Amino acid sequence: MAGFSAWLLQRLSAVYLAVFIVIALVWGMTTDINMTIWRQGFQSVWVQLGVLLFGLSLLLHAWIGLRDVVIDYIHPLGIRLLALSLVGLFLLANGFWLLAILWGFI
Amino acid sequence: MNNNQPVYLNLFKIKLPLPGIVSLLHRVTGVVLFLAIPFSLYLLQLSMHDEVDFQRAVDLLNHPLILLFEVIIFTALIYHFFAGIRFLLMDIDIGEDKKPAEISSWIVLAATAFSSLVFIIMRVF
Repeated sequence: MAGFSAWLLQRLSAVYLAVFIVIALVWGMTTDINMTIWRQGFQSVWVQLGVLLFGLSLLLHAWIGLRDVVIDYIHPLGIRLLALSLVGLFLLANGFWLLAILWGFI
Repeated sequence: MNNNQPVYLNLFKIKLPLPGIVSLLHRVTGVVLFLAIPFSLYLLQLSMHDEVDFQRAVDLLNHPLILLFEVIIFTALIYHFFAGIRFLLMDIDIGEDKKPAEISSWIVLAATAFSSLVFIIMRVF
């Protein structure tokens, strides 16, 4: 993923992340959250889809952002590739972790 | 030109203009938020498990040291949010000139400071 598609994906994911965060913050500030309400929320298919899409957007957004940072500041090719691999692994691991939580494996 | 001449780059002596600082901070906060992902997932995992773990997540969030992290993470998030909106607007050619870019930089900083203060007041007091 490079060039214009990465640039566009970065912006599209940004918009989704921003809208999601605003909704989540407003909900959090206007709701007296307890275990029951929290659980009920996550039982809704829409919330599950929303959170899943949030996770996917965050993964892509963070990958493009961190990739830009690594390429701008780390120049030796070996260390750069190592850093990019670590970032990618970190994000994938966290992505699978979110899936496991949502599917109730953990 | 002699390409072997030493390059002296003292980062503390380079004075960035305000929009440059906003841009740099956008990157710094982005990396901070990236690093905060596992912490958020851990809290989500606890909160979804059972009543005991849900309470553990709540207690954890109220622990003074964790509260400090929360303030840092929230400030990074809200900064990244406001600065991000500013960049999105610039992408569609709004506020790209020197003067508007400077004014919007101040707005981003002020909005972040205000939000962060509200967060601290709501969470700590």
